[in-house]
Amino acid sequence: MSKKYEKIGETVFSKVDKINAELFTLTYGALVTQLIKDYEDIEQVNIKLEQMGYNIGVRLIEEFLAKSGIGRCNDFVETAEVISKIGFKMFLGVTAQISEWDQDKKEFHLIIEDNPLIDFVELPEHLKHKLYYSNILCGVIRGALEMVQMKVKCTFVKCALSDESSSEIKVVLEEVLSDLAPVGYD
Amino acid sequence: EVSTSSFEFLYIELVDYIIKSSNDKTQTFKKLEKMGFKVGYKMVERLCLDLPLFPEVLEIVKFICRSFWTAVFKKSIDGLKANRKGVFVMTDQKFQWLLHLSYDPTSTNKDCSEYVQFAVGLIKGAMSNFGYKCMVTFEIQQMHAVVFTIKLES
Repeated sequence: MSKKYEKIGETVFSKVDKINAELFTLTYGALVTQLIKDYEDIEQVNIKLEQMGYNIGVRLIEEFLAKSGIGRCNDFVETAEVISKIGFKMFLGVTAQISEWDQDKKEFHLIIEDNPLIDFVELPEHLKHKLYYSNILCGVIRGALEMVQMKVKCTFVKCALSDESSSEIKVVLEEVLSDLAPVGYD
Repeated sequence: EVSTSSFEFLYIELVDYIIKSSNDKTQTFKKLEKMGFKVGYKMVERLCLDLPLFPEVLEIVKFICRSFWTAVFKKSIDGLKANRKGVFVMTDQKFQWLLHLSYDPTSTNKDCSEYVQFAVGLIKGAMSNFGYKCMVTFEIQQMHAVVFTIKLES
């Protein structure tokens, strides 16, 4: 099944406007540095990054739906494939792997081996296991999915910058929001 | 490569954060310029890896107008004027970071210069990597054209 999505992802990525990844990576780095300067507490930096990601996700979903031509997903398994093979590819030029589904298929891990945000980045010792450098990604996923009626929680479980093998985000589906029109709305 | 929209989404959030976290416009500009400086400085380093040294400052400015601008904006600067006193005027007729902004006539802030200030830092950072200190000012002209003036500090 994932082959099909990989193909769509590649086609979409070949069509979108692209830009030097270094500019993107360095600019993100400058932002994170500024946040660390502004907040004393690293946990606040993680939160802020997630919020900024959320704002991005809310806007980015529109472009995603328009350019990918993807319709409603049948289940959360399909959603996971679409995010990892099409979403990541379309915006970041890389795909992610999926693993560790739970029994109810409401929880999975996204493994990002080739995260462009962390190219050339090294964390000083005292920030390892504290700062989730790419936490913006968690926010993007949460914001984008909320716009398609899925309430999820995303957290970093592993971070390649803290000496772990890869970057891994845990995505948990908390609730499928009803998309029925509210009472009195027509 | 990554998609251009990823960068633009990030850029909008970044500018928005800096505006909200600063006390006034001066501080906003200072912060944005500083961030741009770091990015410009490092980008030049990578772009110049295989290039011979530039003997003259004009060559450096031309490099910024062409290769550097293309790496950032996917287009080169449209016009460059130089005088002999170390002043360079660069015109970008279609400045990418203003293209997708919409104009809100009811807003009190009708000026989009925050979205250009980061580029001032980029230029300064790039020039600094070549060993030149300079002042950079800009003016936004009708729609999306931006004129940057670089003045070398002696």
